[in-house]
Amino acid sequence: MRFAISKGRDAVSGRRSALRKVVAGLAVAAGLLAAPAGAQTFAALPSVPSAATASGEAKPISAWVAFCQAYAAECAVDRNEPASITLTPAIWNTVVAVNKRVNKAVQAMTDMDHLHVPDRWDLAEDGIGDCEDFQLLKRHLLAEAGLPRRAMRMTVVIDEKGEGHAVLTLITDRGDMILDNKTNTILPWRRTGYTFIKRESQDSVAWVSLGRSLSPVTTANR
Amino acid sequence: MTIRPLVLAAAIVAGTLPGLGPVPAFAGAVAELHGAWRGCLHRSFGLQASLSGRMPAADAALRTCRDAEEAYLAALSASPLLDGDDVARVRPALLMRARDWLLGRRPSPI
Repeated sequence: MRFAISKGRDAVSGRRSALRKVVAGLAVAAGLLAAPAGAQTFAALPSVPSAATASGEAKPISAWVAFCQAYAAECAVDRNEPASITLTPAIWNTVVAVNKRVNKAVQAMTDMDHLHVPDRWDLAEDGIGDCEDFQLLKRHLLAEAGLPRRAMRMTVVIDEKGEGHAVLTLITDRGDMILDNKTNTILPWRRTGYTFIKRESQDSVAWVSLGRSLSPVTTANR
Repeated sequence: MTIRPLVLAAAIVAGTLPGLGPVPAFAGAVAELHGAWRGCLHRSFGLQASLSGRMPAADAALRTCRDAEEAYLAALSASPLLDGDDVARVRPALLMRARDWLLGRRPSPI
């Protein structure tokens, strides 16, 4: 049995421990924002931004639909929010810290092994999740830190093994940056080596196709 | 039990395996079928490149390995994050990438 943060069921309150660890760690990280969070410095970000282009509607993923019914606030699109994040060194350090901390705190496991279902999206409340759960938790924490949810879009790609994979796209003034549970390095979308398929719309609770967008360079065999 | 890639893909699309009940397209199965397609392309290209030149060999490999490609794409369509429309849309790009991989223009077919 699992529970949603917004639902607040207390029968399994111990399962919040991973999320608490992440949040506690972020509080520490917030005090260190003046210092670089690891080797990925703000200065190293691309000066010429590159953004994936949406090319039309795409069918939503059934497990995402169920997630949005259970966690409506996580899927809501506020068109009054900025569509792009203006990165500063402090914001970048927060993003890097959240990415690393969630990647470290959550234990990766397929939904089939964990919950005996093919696909379920949640916030890894029990500390276990697969690719989309990592990214949903990162977005939840970054939105709590003040970043516009509208500029953080769940994204489906085909990965280096030829499988479907979920990542989080941050749409920024330095281009589309990809947060991934396979690496702590946040890469510009074109440098991931992935084939980009679709992502959440910035205008409504829906998905948009990324057409035949290709990222031309494979950076690592992850 | 050994299951050939095409049989596995057919079972995934049908949603069943004999005696095992409904089966989704597990990530491992998709990766296995992708590997089978990649292996077929590599073998076919290797055999034909010395006879016909690299570009014709790459095109021939894509034709020769159509069954393995279809098995992979069928499994990918049945996997949780993608559907048939996604796969149909991206197929030309995947084929272009596979061709570039065979010709040494990129390190991976994805």
